Amino acid sequence: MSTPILEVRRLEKRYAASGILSRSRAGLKAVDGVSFAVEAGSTFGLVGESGCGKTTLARALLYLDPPTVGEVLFEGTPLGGLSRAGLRGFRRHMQIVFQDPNGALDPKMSVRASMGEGLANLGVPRAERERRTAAALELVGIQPAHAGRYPHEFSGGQKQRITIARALSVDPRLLVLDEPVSNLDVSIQAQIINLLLDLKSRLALTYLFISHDLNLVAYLADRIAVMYRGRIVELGSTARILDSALHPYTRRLFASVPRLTGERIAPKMEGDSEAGDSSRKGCRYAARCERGELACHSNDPELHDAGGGHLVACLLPEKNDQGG
Amino acid sequence: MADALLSIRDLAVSFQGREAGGSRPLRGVDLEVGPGEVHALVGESGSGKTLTATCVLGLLPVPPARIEAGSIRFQGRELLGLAERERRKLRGRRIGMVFQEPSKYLNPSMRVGEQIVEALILHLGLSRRGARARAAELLELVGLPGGRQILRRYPHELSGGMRQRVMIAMAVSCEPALLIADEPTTALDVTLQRQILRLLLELRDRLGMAVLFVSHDLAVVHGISERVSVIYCGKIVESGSRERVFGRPLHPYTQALLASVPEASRRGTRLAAIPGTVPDAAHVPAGCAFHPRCPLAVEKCRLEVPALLDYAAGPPGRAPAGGEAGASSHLAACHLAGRS
Repeated sequence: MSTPILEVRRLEKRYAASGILSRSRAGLKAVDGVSFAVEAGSTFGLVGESGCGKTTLARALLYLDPPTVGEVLFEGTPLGGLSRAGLRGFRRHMQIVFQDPNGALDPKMSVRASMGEGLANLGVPRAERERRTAAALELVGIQPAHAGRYPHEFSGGQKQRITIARALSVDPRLLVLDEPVSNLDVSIQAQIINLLLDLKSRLALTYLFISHDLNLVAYLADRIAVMYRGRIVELGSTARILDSALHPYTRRLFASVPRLTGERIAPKMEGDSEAGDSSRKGCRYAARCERGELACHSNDPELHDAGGGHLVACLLPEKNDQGG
Repeated sequence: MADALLSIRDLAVSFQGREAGGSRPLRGVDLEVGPGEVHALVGESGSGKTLTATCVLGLLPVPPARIEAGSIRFQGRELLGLAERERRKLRGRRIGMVFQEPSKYLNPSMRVGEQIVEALILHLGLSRRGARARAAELLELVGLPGGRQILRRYPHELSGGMRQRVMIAMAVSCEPALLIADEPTTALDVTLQRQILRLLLELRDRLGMAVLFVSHDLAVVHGISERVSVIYCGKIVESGSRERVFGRPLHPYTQALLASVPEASRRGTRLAAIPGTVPDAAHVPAGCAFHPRCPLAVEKCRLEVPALLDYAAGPPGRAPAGGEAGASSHLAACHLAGRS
């Protein structure tokens, strides 16, 4: 197998719990020992519920907020060893698009100025900046003639197109997309998703697609990693994750998603499962897990290969008829 | 339908604003909710779905808003023009409400128990002791066992899912005939979302209340509703049973919305995106408001506003559907509906 475009090894991100309100602890592990690799040209989906650490992971692997422990390799080069200038040079290969274009675009700057900034940081001369900005806007379906306008003159969908254009203007090879359509209306979401699909094939991009929207990730991704409380609990091809998931949490997550093709929801009340603090030593999911046994509360399962590149961190993985 | 619980007829609302002539976010909404029915009102942002719910609750800010025309009848009684004191009695007592962000509606400086107890004393005239006991029961009902402990907590001490359950407990505390739930699960994670949707259905079954479920999420609506109304630019464009609207949608807007949803089964195909954007309420296109984005639009669509007609039994009669939208009706407002 060729070198993956992105490789994350045992990444940890800890936040010191040192505020006046916090009890003294070793610090909060928002991301706890995450490893995965993304093949060039693929779409890698990262899913999980709020607070599972997926956005923290994205920021850490781009060194926007460097990891506490662990390594990130871009095409085999470890980012941790790079100087600030070296890192800046690498950023052009890995760009990120955030959920909220309003937060990503400065309201007081024209689109041209916003887009030129990143290019100027890379030392691109003015005339070339102008040319690349126009080309990138054209790619996402915004008229380059409108580059002098300000963010408020565009709709939400157009603003998200502009942030995508800005990311593309430096010719990245990897785009990290963090909930890029979650703030948009249904009819606009599809436009942006189609645009992302087009761009990926035209520009031979690799996507790391982060979302809580499981239907969307199932539609887009080649491989899916499921995060729970700072860990990856399962990782496999989209087909395996959808049809023969091994981790009880993955099954529960995907069974919960409303679908247009699904059944009507049954009015059955479940016990409240919001309680259940994870045990310190064992599996973090043990308290919520319907399969959990005593061993799960004392042994922390490692992510291991259950066969064919399908990884799972569970002591009692589900059995599948298809076999491992 | 004479026995509709809630019947909204031709409701039009305008806002005075900077735009000359103001805007008309509701341009004649027709909607009927039967007793005990889970009726979903689906639309994109700015479609008027929340505004419609706001009018039913009597919470429209007048001015700048103004009700231009129409009628809202609830249990046979006209709500528009009712004194605020009367409206307030209905709200909470006969019509409960749940919103997307419960933190906005819970008092942060009051224990949640006190908030439920106050509502019970106000609306049902219970004694404080009786109200406390009832409040604990209500929390059990919404899946918060050990209710008494939770009664003593402040909203910030509860998780998002627990706060939404408390909000639901308050909303159903007086066993209302109608619960208005405006995007009640949009801020929640999927596993929690499913629990809350199940809870709403369970409460509907137990209490026999109707639910007007306002949402932008078609998959959620598919999961929970019995009847669905689709709203676009302040007008209902389609309304019918869940099976009909999802299975045989009549309006090109509904068809396009359904085709634009990403799902695993659509892998490898492009989504059918709807071109353009939702027009804002100050610049609604003439004729059928959807015509600039509609792939089928003809000259008539640019000129004439289509009436909402019943297609349940084939081509519609000439009379508009107003007043007799039966449970089996399938209404659409499209010049080309049913032609295909």
